[in-house]
Amino acid sequence: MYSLMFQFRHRGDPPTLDSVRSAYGLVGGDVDEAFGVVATDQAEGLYVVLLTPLAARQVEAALARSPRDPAVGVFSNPRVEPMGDGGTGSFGPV
Amino acid sequence: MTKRNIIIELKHTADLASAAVAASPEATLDTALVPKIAGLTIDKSFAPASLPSTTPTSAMDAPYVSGWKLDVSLDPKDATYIVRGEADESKIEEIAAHKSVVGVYADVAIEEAIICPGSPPMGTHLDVERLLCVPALGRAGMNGTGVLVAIVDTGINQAHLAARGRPITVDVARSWVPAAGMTPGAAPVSHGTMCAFDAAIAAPRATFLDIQLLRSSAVGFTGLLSDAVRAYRHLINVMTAPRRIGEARSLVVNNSWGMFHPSWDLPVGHPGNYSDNPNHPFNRIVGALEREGADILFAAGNCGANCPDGRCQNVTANAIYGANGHPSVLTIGGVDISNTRVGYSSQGPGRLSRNKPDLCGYTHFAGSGVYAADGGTSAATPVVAGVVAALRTKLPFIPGNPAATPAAIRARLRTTARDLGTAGFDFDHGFGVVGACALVPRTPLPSICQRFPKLCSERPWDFCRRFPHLCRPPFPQPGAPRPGFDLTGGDEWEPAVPADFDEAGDGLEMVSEAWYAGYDTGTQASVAKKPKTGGCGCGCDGEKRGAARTSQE
Repeated sequence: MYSLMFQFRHRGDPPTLDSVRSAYGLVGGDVDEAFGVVATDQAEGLYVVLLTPLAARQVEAALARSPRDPAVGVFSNPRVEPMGDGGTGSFGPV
Repeated sequence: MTKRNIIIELKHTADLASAAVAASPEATLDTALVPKIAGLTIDKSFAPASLPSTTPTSAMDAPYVSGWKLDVSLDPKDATYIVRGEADESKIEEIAAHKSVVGVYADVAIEEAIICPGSPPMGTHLDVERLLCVPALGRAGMNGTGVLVAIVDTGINQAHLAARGRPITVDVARSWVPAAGMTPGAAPVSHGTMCAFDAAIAAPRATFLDIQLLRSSAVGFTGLLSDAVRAYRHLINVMTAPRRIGEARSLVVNNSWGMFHPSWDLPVGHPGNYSDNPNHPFNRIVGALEREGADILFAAGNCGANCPDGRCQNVTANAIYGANGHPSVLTIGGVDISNTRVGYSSQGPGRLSRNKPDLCGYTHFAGSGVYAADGGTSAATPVVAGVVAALRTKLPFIPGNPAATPAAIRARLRTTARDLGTAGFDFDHGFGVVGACALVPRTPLPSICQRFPKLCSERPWDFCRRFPHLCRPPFPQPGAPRPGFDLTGGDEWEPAVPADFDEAGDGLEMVSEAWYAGYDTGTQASVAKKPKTGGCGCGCDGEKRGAARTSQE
């Protein structure tokens, strides 16, 4: 289950899944290929991939050895729901 | 001893009658007029009020039964007078037995009726149309024409909207679905269809993008924030796609979703937290989309203190989580059509930006037919999104025009809101309820394309490929001369006028148009050097530039 987001900085050409894997010592199944690499803030060179919890721990351990950049690291991926009925019945059926 | 607030009805005396006649809102009660009764404390701030005498028309009629006729005497001598006070519960019978007292009644605390989840709808979408001055918006040409409205939700069902008398246009090619096999505009009838209906109240001519974020989960209408990251990347691509010269691309993004409880997230203080962390990938991409020119609206949430949604688990403080309270978005609370805050509308402060919500929209009315009521801040948000789209019809986003930035639009919405609650901003209502009627007289000048249609005529694809800088508005080109602005500045384009620069933006637009015209005649260089008159046009010093930046938000 790919349940955590990993945001990193990258300058130059947009990164690929392979370049992410090699940069952070990840293997094939660690990264969600369907999600891919998504630019979250191109001006800042920020990108995100989805990782398994095990891979996320590995990346966090690697990042702990370098100075902390608050925009880089493993982030939560909470569920989100509609702010209305959304099937919960809170606002009543028709 | 239990103290009770009571109303005491007193028999007529000349002094009480004259005190009641003279009573004004500021009047107080002379306690000498009221008999001294042991155990009763009279409220001096409450002036006596007269009650006219009533008697049944027929001696057989019982008074105050619905349908019976009563004779009312306006003679002061027939009247009784009420004052109020406080007494021990054990003394009330004694007070009632006093010779000058007609009766003693409970003075109960009253509150205005408040809408909660499950309450029946108040009014209909036609009431909302009236409150938003939709006919006046339409007469001013503010109807959403040429504006993209992205409904980031559970999907839109066009057929349902058409059946409800509100057909809309969906741009299938620029819509987004999370998985193969889903068709934009043909989603199951649910929450997203309600949002589209409500956005179309003020912007019936907008073009809708169906962004089916909340269909990414196999269970119910939920999604993960990572799906939202992908959806927002798609919207950035929509905003940055090549465009024709002079073409405006206004995008209004409606988000009637969010998280309901802190337990859904990593704890506050954890570096991977979402709700309080501006560096979370989703919060970053929201900022990036806004910088590309999109107007982003988020629902405040349904965790208001009076009657929160069950999913809030009674956590109602600081319940505007993450991007719902992002400084670059409009955060929308909900009021009913009587301008009373609905009890479930989340109150500020926001977690990412303190002064949230920004303003309120109308909610809990009968409209789309998807639910008994178009309710929640879910409905309030697209109502306001429609107003933003209507405004964008006349004030399209053009990079470099400081009067048309998303920040300027947010400022315009805040300053035209009708104040509710305490004067100015408050955490219940923000700056008040959306003031669509006030936007009409502030309609800006027609856009370049409306005034000079030939400049916006179709240009060959190959032309734009070879000369991309000519297919975008002129200002963002690094190092290029900027007509009417600092010609020697750095690569970063900075508006030299405040973001809330309003109709005065006309001067800026005139220069832009001349510059566009210059492309057709080959004289743009000379036009580009033409100084802009008024405001802070050419050669702003650093101090003025700093002031302009500060006023952006």
